[in-house]
Amino acid sequence: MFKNSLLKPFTQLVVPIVSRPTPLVSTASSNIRLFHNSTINSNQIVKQQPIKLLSRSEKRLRSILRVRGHLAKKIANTKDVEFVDPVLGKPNTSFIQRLDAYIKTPTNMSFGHEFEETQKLIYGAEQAALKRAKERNEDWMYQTIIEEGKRQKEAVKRIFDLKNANNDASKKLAVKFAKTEFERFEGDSGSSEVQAAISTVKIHFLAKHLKENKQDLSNTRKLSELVHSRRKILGYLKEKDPKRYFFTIEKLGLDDSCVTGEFTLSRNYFANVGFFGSATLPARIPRRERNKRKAIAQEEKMARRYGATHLGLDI
Amino acid sequence: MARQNLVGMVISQGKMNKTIKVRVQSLIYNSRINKDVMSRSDFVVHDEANVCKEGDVVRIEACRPLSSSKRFAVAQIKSNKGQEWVNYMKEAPIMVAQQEQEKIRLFNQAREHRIAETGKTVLDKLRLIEAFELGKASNEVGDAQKAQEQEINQYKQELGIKSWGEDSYKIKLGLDKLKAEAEAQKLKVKVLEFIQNQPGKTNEILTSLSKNPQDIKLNIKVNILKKYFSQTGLEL
Repeated sequence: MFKNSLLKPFTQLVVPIVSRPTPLVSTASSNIRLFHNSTINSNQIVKQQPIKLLSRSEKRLRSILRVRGHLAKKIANTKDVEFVDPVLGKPNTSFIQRLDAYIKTPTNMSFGHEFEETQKLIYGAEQAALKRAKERNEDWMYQTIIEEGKRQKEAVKRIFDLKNANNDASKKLAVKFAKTEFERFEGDSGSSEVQAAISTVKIHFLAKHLKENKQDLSNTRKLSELVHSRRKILGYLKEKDPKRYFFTIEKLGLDDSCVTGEFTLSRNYFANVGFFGSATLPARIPRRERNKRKAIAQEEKMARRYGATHLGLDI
Repeated sequence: MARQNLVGMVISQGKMNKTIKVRVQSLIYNSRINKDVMSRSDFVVHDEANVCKEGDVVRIEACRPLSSSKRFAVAQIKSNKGQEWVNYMKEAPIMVAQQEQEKIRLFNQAREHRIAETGKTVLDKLRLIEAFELGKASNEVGDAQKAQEQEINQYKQELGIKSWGEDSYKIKLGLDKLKAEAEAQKLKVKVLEFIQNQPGKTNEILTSLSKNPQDIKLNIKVNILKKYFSQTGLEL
């Protein structure tokens, strides 16, 4: 009934507005039906434009320009999405910087010892020796005992210094640091965020090694495994506790796309982020894909030009 | 006829205007394995107000074809978990920034404490001594510096500084180390040449030091002669 009136615009122009048929959709019906017919407005008077005959080439040109205009508007509206590295995360993440600073503190010791504790122990030993000397009335021993204590302090500091230990020792310390940062209660080592933090530490250490040793393929595979396991853990956390999840990824310098998006640790990824510096190989793209991209780029270029000149868009 | 109604979760939003993707799960009996199997299907759904967020559970209702693949429209949002996610996403950077600020403050505090505990660095001590000595030279020693005298003497003892000259800090910081090494190398070469060219004289020197020249190896000869020339100050 109502649709038929649309098909007969000439007759409708003649009919006065009051006598036009009432719309099918009443206000009492459900919302869904309303927007189904949202394009049809009962109060609208259909304007009839004079029919203009177009040649085939004109029609073709018009269709091309229509598509081009749509594309230009689309480009103008799209926001640049920030790329976040799914392996190393955002650069200058505060947590990672603090971790680095913590590892480099000069009082760090390997094998889980603490600087202050060792100093206290040596002081205690020295005091005990002095006491023993006093009991035996060996006053001439005092000076030698104190000098011995000084030497012991120096020796212990050198032996247990983290600078003289291997990479594993500093990794252990970093893991401990990450644990205490993310734990829900004291001694917690199994919650998802702690696991994710530990794998982040491991990933950063391994990536540093791989940047220097490009040929280490077995460890490259290990890195891939670590990254994917972290994605899995974080995906689980998102399902269970979204609040903790968003906090954790923010702190680790990651993004939701790092967890939900697709990722392979491939040559193209290395090329994209310039993983090996100047030694990185360029990305390998199949010819068909390359041609496709070229065509899209050309279309976009034309659309930008058209949008700037004809539509007044700022692109 | 009643419209088709389904319940599912929003899995994609914001990529197309007024359109979302909804995943509907259902159990379907598989007669071959005699089991219920979970099956899922994704629907492209019309969302007029753009209100649905990723993670929402919605009820969708069939409608007339709205585009090539849109046959459903959102009828009801059953749980707005997606909106909660968005809120958490907005909260997270603020919370993390606050926590990091606090942690950095604590870290710096611990660092300052450590430095105060272990005493001043070598460089600071040297600077203190330098300032004191310069003041002494120009007779402008203030009361504050006089009070420091004992402390500075202690630092001097630690660093093994007996007198303060222009080059004292260079010696202590090992800035002349390379130069000294080069000079030692030069002396060694000169001594080797001396042994090769004048074997008679070398034997004389060694016998004067009460050593048998035939028993001693070349490298030991070189060391002895180096010591001899540097101590006596004789020219090669």
